[in-house]
Amino acid sequence: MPELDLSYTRYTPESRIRHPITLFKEMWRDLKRSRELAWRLIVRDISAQYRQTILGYFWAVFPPLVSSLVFILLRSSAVMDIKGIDIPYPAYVMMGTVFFQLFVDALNAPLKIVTESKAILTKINLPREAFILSGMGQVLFSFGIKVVLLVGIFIYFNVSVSWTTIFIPVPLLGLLMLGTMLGVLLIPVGLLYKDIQSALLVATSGLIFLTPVAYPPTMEGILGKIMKLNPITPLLMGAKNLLTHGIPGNLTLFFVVFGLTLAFLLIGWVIYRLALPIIIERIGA
Amino acid sequence: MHSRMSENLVTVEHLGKKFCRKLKRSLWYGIRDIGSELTGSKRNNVKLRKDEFWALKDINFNIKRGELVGLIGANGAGKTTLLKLLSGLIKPDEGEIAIRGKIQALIALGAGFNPILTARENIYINGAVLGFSKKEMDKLLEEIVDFAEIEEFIDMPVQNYSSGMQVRLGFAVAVNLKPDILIVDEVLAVGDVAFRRKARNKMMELLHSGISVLFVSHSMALMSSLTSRCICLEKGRVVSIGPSDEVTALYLSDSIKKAQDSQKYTEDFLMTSAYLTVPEIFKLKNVYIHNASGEKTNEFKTFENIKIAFEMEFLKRIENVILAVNIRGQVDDAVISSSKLPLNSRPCEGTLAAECEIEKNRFREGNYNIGFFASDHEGGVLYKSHIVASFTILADMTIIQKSDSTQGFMVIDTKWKVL
Repeated sequence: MPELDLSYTRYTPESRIRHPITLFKEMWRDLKRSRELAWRLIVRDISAQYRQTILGYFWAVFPPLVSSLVFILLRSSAVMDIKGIDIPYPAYVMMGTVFFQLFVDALNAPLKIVTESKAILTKINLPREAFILSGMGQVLFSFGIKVVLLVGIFIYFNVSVSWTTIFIPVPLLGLLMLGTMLGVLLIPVGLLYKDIQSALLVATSGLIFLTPVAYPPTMEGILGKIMKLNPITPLLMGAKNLLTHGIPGNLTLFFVVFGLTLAFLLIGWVIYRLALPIIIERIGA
Repeated sequence: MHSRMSENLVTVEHLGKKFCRKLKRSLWYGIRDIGSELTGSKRNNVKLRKDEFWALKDINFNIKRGELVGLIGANGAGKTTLLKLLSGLIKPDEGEIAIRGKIQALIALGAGFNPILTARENIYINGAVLGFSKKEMDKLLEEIVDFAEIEEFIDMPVQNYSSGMQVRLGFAVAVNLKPDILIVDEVLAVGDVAFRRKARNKMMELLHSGISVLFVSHSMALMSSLTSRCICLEKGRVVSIGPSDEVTALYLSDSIKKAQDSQKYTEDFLMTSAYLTVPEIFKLKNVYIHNASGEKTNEFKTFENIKIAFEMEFLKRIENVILAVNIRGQVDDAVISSSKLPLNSRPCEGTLAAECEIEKNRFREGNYNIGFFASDHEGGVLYKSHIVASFTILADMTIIQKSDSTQGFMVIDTKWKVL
């Protein structure tokens, strides 16, 4: 017999938030229920995505490659004066953009996948967590391809890697969760109003300059202040430092951001669950 | 055992749901509802805001274990909204729904399936959602595929399936995943006759094993033959609930009366009144009655010409179609006369209009129903109804005086002779 308890369900107008224990029990239950669906969605979407293209997997590495080339060009023509980098610049900038792209992809995935699955969401009562999980899975897959490229570049430029690289999954997970968290928070409004998706595109293209991606974090000026407040900074710097310097950087700040990300991810999840039935009723044909 | 069988699996109390007529305002209400949902503040659910209306209001019913309950109502009566609420897709604004056990909803064609995934993938997903492990599903897979008769298509995306195959797959998955409550919407009206019979038998078997079924159909004949109890919705309210024979009879006579009053024999009405329909192949869209000069009317004098026009749609190419019309007495439903049109040389596909003209009708005063029948070359029935339209023959004193009383249906030429 099935292991899940689906034996009693009650639907009332009352908000589930008034019964947090039941709410969390249901969230945990639905997370388990959604595994199979999430996995199938990942496999389907990835194979469909790369089947209908000529360049295939190249599309995964294309965005970081382009932004890296732009930065390399800017630096070599001395438009931008970037100092204080102790590894070859192409390797440095590639590392930054690949990690940053992990965040950007994770940020875009939730709204994108939920919008694409609107037809199913409005007709079938599936565990809706599956769509978020599937988005995360696809982001990780595309990140994996980029890592292969990054490894190739590190070998080519003969960059030595610190032993602390074994801890790198922690900041990378942080970047994935931070992006997903923000993306999930945008779903309710983003599903009702299309403006959000357009705004997201504009925001991410500017964000790369406000984050220490292609240059080390600066302490000066307005940019310095923004970078300090930018929650991506400690996670991204953590990943970069662990890979090349053998130091984790500002650990306190790192764990504060990491913890807050986790907390807000949970909040975003609750909002997503509570808001979706209301949205489905409004957009469902 | 007795106490177990009398247990309510579905209990619906004072259920209400509001909808908003205008999209922009609806979206804004949505944002506000999300806000109050998150703060946990009690929404002012029971009051209608501007442009809102009750799509469902004060719905009360229950379904016991082993019971098959029917749900009827015209399009827009709130059936789909009720089903969406029952499956947990949307939240009630008022009242509550309590469900004991797992619910499986077969709402419309191919619902429950992700169209881009294959049948195999969909089966595993459905299982996982209901908490079945992969191992358990491996065992069930064969049963499901067997029942659905789709062995060779199991690795094809569901969107390429024919409507019949989708129904078979949907039904097979739903019944084999051992639900406690099954919602079946129009499904048994689709598909070939053999599968319909199989599905019906399976449903009865499940009922005996103690599951509950909520059955939605436009066909009153199917409804009264399958279900014991019926709920009839109209404009979001339960207008009648009780023994199926009574509820369906009431609903049918009501919709016939409405159609007669408005002289609109709509597709919806033509589905409801039908004895048998195969909507994925054949649809009777409209029926019109004209007099000799082409005016729409349903009142005629004896000896006037009556023209009955049918608008049909064939969703598949069918050879050797036979159309037939019969005229029935409204009191006892007895066939008084009939006429058929075999379309031997003309395969039917797409829309088709046909007219049957009764020349110099010989009916006496009273009300008459028009029955309609369509079949394919193998005698497979596409449509069968005892009433698709009706007309009235006005009283004519010369005829009444000639006859003995007001008895009888037909005018016959008679000559008396004393021998």
